[in-house]
Amino acid sequence: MISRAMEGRVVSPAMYVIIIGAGRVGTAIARRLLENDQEITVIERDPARCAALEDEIGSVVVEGDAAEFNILSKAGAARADALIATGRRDHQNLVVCQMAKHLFDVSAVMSIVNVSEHIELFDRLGIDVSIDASLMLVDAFMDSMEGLLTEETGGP
Amino acid sequence: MTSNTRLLARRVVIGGCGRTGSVLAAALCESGSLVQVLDLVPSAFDRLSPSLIRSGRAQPRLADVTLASSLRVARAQDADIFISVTGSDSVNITAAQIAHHILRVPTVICRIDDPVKRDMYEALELTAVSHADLVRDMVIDLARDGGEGR
Repeated sequence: MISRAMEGRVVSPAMYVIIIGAGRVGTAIARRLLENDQEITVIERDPARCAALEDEIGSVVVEGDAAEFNILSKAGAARADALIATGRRDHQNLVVCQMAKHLFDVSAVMSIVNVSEHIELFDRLGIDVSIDASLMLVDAFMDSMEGLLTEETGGP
Repeated sequence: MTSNTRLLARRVVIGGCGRTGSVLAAALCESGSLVQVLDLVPSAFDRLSPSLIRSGRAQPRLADVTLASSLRVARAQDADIFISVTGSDSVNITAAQIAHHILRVPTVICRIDDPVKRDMYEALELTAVSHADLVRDMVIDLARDGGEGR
C-alpha cells in the first residue's frame, strides 16, 4: 500500500475493513477507504458485480454468500477491525454482522438498515452502528429545504 | 407421529407455510392448538388442508415474519409458542430474534440448517432445529435397526 503521508496528508494507521455488498453504497465505501489508504475486502454474491469491481479497483473481492462462515474466513474476518454490511436485505445484514461479532470478534460491526423499524432490533442485538438509509435521505432533504427557504426569505 | 404431539400450547404462530410449516400446523391443530400460519406468498396456504382452515383451527395469514410490525398485526406477541420454519436461515433467525427479544414470546423455536449458525445462535438464547440433524438421526436409527428389522 502506498502511503500518502508524503503528500502532507494526515493518514491514520491502516485499518482492515470488510465490506459486504458491491452495490452502489458498498462500492463507494470501498473507493473511499482505498483513497484513505485503508485495507479492504469486499464480499459479493453476484459474479458480474465481482468482475466489475475487480476491473475498477483490483483483487479485493471475495465472491460468495457473506453469511457463510467459510466466506467470512476467506475474507480474513479474523483480523478485520471493522465490517460494514450494505445489502438490500436486512435479515442478511443482521446475520452477517452477528457472525462477524460473535464468531470472529470484529470490534466494529456496522450495517445499513433498509427498513426503518429494524433499527430497534439491530440496536437490541448489539450491532455497533446501524444507519437508517431512508431516514438519512429525509434528513438531508429537510436540511437542504430549510436552507433554501431561509435564503429566499432573507432569513439568517 | 401425532401421538407424541399430544400437548401443547393454546396459541401457536408458525412462520413459513412450506412443507415443514404446513405439516407442523396440521400436527399442532390435531393436538388441540390454535395455529396461525404466516407466509408472504398466498399460494403457500394451498398446502394447508381446507378442512383445517374451515374449522378455524389453522388460520392462514399474509405476513412478513422479518418485521415486528407485521408479526404484531398477526398478534404473535400473544402466542405461547412462535416457530420459524421458512426455507431461509437468515429469515428464521431474524424472525426468532424479534419474537424472543422484542415480542417476548415465551417459547421460540427456529429452523437453522447451517450447523455453524445453529451453534452460534443456540449460544445466543435461541432454540434451533436443523433438517440435516434430524435426517442424520433418523437415518442412523434406521440403519441401526436395519440389522434386526425386516
